Amino acid sequence: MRTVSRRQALRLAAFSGALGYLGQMGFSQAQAQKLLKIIAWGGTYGDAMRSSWMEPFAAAAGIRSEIQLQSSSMETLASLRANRNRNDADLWLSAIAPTSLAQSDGLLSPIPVDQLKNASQLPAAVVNDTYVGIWSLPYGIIYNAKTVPFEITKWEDLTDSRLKGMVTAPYGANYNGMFIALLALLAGGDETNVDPGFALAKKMKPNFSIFTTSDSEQIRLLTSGEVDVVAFAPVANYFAARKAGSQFRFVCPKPFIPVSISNVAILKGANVEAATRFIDFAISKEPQQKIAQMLGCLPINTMSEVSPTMREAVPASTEFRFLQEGVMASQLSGWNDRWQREIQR
Amino acid sequence: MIARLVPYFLVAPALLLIAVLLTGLSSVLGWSFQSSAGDGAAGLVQYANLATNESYRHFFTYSLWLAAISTFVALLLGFPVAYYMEINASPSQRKWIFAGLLAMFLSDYVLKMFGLILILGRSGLVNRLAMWLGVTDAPFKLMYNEFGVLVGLVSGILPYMILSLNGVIARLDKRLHEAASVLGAPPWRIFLLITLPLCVPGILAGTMLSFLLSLNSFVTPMLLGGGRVDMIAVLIFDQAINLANLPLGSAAAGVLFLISGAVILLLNGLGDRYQKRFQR
Amino acid sequence: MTPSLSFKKRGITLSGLSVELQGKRILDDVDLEIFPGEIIALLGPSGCGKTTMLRAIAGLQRPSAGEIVVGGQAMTDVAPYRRNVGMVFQSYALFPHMTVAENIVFGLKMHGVAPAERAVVLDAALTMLELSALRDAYPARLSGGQQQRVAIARSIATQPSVLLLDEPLSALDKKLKDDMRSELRTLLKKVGMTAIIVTHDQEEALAIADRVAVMNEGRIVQIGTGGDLYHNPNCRFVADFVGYMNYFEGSIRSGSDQRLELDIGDARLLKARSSAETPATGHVTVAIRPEAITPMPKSAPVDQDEFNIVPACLISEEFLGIVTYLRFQDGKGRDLLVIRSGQSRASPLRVGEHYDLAWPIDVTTLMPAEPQAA
Ligand SMILES: Nc1ncnc2c1ncn2[C@@H]1O[C@H](COP(=O)(O)OP(=O)(O)OP(=O)(O)O)[C@@H](O)[C@H]1O
Ligand SMILES: [Mg+2]
Repeated sequence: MRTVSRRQALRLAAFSGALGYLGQMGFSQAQAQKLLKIIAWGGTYGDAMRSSWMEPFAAAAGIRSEIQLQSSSMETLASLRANRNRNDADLWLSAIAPTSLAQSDGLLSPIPVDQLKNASQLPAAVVNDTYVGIWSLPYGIIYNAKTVPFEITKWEDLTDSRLKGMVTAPYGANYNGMFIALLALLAGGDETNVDPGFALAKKMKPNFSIFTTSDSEQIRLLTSGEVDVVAFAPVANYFAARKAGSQFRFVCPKPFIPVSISNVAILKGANVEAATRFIDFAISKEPQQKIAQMLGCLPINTMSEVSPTMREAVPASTEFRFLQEGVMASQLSGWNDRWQREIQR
Repeated sequence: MIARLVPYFLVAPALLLIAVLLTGLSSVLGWSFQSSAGDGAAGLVQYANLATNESYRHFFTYSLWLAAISTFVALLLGFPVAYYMEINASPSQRKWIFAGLLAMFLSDYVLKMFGLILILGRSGLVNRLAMWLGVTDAPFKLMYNEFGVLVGLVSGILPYMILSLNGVIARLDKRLHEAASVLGAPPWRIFLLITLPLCVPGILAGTMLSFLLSLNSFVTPMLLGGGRVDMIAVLIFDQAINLANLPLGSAAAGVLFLISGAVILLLNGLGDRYQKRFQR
Repeated sequence: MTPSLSFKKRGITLSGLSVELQGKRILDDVDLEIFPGEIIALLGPSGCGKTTMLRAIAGLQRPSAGEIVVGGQAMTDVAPYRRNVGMVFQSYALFPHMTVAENIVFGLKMHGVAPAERAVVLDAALTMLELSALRDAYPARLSGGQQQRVAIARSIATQPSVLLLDEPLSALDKKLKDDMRSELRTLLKKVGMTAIIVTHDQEEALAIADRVAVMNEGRIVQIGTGGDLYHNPNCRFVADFVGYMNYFEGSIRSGSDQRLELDIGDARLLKARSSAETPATGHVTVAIRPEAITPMPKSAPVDQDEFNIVPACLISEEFLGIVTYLRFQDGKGRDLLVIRSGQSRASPLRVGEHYDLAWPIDVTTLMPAEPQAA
């Protein structure tokens, strides 16, 4: 989950109506000019998208595109719900949970999968008519090797009493509930039965000192020495922390690590033809290689090469586990409440 | 003719702003009567959800509690400062205190909170000092918990409290204290029977302002709470943004709005009744 | 008056009392003896230290030197709330958040008087100052006179040994002021309280007080009864402050047993009675009250042994009702004021004519000559 400024949140909540109306007026224009509007994150994500995908795509296909900023995909889901039938964007970069929720709310257009020439190079699980995967992010533990008295190798180590008060964990169901689902799987439950996961979390509870709401907060707390262990972090955060010092280690703990799939979906009322061509370009070998390198994540295209720095952090031998994010999506609210009540307080 | 219209021109921008804010607010409130998926009217379902779910109720009771505590602490800390500033301080001291208050006002709120982290964090100033002095082996946990949020809230509202009190204290008639003293009242009774009652309007104003600011605060629990301090604005944000449940977030915002309104009415009413008794 | 409002009479002695504020001497070595039950008026120009003196006696102002003794008890180091001194402030300083009744019993509460007794004193005070109807009113709703009576009631409720009143009547209009003035004296005398009343107004001072102390620049210049100050001022300041005065500067020419001859220039001699205080030789100021002078026609016979005579020309005449002001100028250009009763049936005077101004030798006051001006 990305940082969200309060102002943006308020603006969305308060003026969603007005924005939606303005958006409608721009709709027909977008179609005519073949300007693709993509709802996506800004910052490094936006920069990487522009140079890896949007500019080369414009050069190759003659279709220009622009980014409509979102702070988080959940926030966009809220705004799409609020402005049902009044959005003017074509593509939405998101995670599986919000996409699944949007799909069941009827906010999406089906993707014509048969028109994606490069789809065969992707794992079959990440291509369907709701979404197409665009990159994947492995999650593990980051810790400060100078202050943590032992080498962390497995998720179970988070229950070690030597880590008392040293660990930051996700706030509520942040990271789309992946940490909660992971704990459930580790403790013998699954995405539909998280009770064992909460039992495991309670064992870690004395070690949890702070619950973080964003990547940037995680990085800041770790590098400022406020915490020594980040219990659940995308590998990209490790690359960021690494810039502050070499004492930080990334572990892909045993027995497996979860991988979140970022995906793209086509919104209701979009220019489906142009949008499909964009997706096909984005998942092709070269653009995938480039964007994965820039973002510090894994390319979704199996033909793309993985950068050496990524290989060092996430060895080829690592066992991945794709979580059933679609199944998790509808339970996030309940997990969030329960996590706050039982683990955070 | 034009001269008659001037006042309308002058208030127009403010009215426009208020209208825009009210529109936004009403649209938020409108959402609170929707179902969670945003696909239809659902009456008071969201409000019922807030009222019945212990997890949500906790955000409200806990926020009210924190707001009350922080306001009380700000009053305790602010009163002596305001009193000293108005009564005892030399003109140059007064200027310095005022400059300090102004700095507290002008500096960015988020920046101020980060400043607190630098002071109270695990490797912050206080802990480094305490460990250097040998007071403790392990750092104190002064931040990312209830205490940290209280410190943040108090430091956020303190300047408002002090400036609210300044006015009434400056208007205190020194001769009333002297009259009481001549009539046999020792200093502590003068404070209780003369100073304090005459400061009630300022205390109420400062309390109202501080309480509402604390109750509505978002940045402080977000940055200093370590995810453990459940305040209403965090709930609203979490529901509306993180969980895409705008209706529930809106309902929470609506309840917060009602509570704030009730606090304003209550304290204003108290102040009015108190003052009407002895003012012309 | 109920028995609980019985006042113990106590005198006040100030000795060598000085107050310094920000390096400035506000009170300068003041000695003052006030007898038990006596009413003293402090009279003096604005800023001469009257309020400061009261504040020092009440304990609100720390003296830089000197002693304050009340009823034989040294008060200098006693905190104000232990002195049991009543004070009526210049603008009353009533507690705005308390009713009339609450204001009046405030001091009793502070002294730990039981509620039952407080009620008795309250009723007595309300009755005495005719405030019964206002007992539950807040001060902001009261008129100036009512506020003043509340302030007085509040200050006497605790049976203070000493009552200090700082310009208590200054906020009132002329009519009310005149009424309150005599009421106040009656009240103070009835209760038998030792009181110091500050005023700007000489008439008020003379009407209320047993003795008047005239202050100037932090010092008491003269203290005495109204008559003393009026007829025997010891300096021009006092003379000017209490009524009008005509002056001649002169030097003593010759003195015998009871008589002095004074040279005032213009080859003119004035006669005056000598007393213990008058200097035997040197420069003096001769002072005559304007109402002591009678203008006589040039030809009228005057007893030169009993009267002083100065010829002068009538410059102007102002009829003011009760009195008429006659302004004369003598041969050396000295202005002389004569005040005649408005009722006087004496023959009318003409402006421009010359008259002989005559006054009895007995009312010719001598005081030490002052360095020019004043
Ligand atoms: N706190 C103070 N600091 C410095 N000087 C002061 C202070 N209070 C009074 N003074 C000075 O002391 C002098 C006497 O003041 P005081 O109030 O006793 O005069 P007053 O005789 O009561 O005058 P008024 O008739 O105008 O009330 C004045 O010159 C005044 O300026
Ligand atoms: Mg005065």
